[in-house]
Amino acid sequence: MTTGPRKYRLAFVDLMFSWPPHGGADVDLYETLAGLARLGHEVRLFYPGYEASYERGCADPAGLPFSAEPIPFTWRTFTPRTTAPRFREAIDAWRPDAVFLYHGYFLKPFIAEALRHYPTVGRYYAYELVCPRDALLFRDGAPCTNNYLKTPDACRRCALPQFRERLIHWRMVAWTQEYVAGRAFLPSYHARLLESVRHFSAVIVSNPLMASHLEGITDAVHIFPGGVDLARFAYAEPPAKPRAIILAAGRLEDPLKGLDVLRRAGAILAEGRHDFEIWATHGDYQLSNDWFKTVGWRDPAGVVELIEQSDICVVPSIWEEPFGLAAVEAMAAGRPVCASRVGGLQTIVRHGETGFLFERENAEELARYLAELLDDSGRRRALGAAGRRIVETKYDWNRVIEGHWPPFLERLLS
Amino acid sequence: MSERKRVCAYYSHGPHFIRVIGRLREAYPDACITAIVPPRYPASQEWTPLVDTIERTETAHLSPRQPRACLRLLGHIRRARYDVFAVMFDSDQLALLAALSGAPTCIHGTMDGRLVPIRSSVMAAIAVAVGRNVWGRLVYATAWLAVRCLRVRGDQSN
Repeated sequence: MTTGPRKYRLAFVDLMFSWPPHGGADVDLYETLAGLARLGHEVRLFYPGYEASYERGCADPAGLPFSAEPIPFTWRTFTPRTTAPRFREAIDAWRPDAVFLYHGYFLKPFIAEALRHYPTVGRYYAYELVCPRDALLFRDGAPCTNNYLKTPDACRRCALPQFRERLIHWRMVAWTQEYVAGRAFLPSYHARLLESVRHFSAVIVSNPLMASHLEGITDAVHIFPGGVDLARFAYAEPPAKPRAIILAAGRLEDPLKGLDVLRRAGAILAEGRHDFEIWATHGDYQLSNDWFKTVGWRDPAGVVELIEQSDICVVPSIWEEPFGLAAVEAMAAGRPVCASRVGGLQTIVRHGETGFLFERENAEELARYLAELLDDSGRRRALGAAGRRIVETKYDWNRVIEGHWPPFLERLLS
Repeated sequence: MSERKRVCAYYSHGPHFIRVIGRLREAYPDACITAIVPPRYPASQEWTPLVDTIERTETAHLSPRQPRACLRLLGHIRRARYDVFAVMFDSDQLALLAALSGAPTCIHGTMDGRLVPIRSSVMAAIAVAVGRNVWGRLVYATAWLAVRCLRVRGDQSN
């Protein structure tokens, strides 16, 4: 008689979770837990039920397709002294086979320490482990070569000024709140973080660059891509319209998302043609002009609608994007993608096959590729179709979960 | 016949503005809702049918560093005598604006669109802002000293 793979009881801790999602990390966690539950594992999410924060803990457990337990906190009680024992108590009561520490910042090492009696896995979405400044690992217009785990003093000095204005004017975003609560400015924090990473049974990251930063610290590094729910994307021809729509979607207020590069490329194109319009999910409506339109923030469903109306999608990021969900979503809808040759984007977009890769900040090169796509609707369709096929085989959430998690769990827990 | 309640939703950068407008309309179905938005904030079918009046601020980014513009806005808000004044975040500055609006009920919208009461008088809002400023400076000074004076053992950059 044959038996299927063993089913496990898996606890997930996420200090940032909100649903509806605030970002890609929330979606990643949601899809991962829903997928693992579909595979027959017993999963439960433990997250801070945090009324006063707009960044974390805004979720109704009853509306989630998996078991979830909010643990109540206020900003006063969201400290290592309180978070670690409360999460430990809740998780001990559930008795999981393993604990996965998902999104969170400077409080994660304290919680990891409290949960050492379980096999624990750390999940890092961006560069929060190696860059205490802002998790972006990008400074003075270029990727930073420092690594907090190896050069902590340089990174501490670099990070400190970032917190000045936020502390004085009480802009207590989650990053600042955890920096203060975890006393990440102290040397002891570095030792604690290093110890937690070394003690993790495995570390999951999003791209090879992050994995390379962990060399010499831990060998148990796994790269898991993100994914998309293909059912959300219609994969239909874009509607006919007088001007082709070039879309950039994402948190474009962040200068590292490269909206400026796209606007420069648009200005180059606008000198010679008027058959296009650039749409950007940006809140500053003053930026709009004849060929550029800001369409405000959109929730995930709104972004899908925008992609479906668009003809070409652009991801002009200038930092080392950990993954590149915007590109995968565009490909899922069958749109060709022009993306910077950075981070995870360069593994998602195949140059000349599903879109084009251009050098970081090179607006001229981007304008050239956009012109090529604007001139040839057949090419747009062909690249879009190839992108869709790649998403179907590689980035569909079911494939991501089924391809990565069963072997990973077997290795971790067998 | 009682007069319609006057509700104001004051826009500040945030993706949840439309969600909060929807919740305000649910909470005050018969009220006259005014949205104060930046000059070129687009009117869309998602939210304009839910409000009765749209007013525009002088500039897209109003900050305390533009005291005259702030005072003009405040005067405008106070003259309207709103019964409910809603802001989009629970920041010190917006709490102060809400307290100064003169509205008996002040609320802030959360990211998921919930309406949370702000219970703060003008003096309390000022006291909280000053207290947090002092506390923030102390924390920053502590962090500055720790970073400047204490080294991490084994740092490869030293």
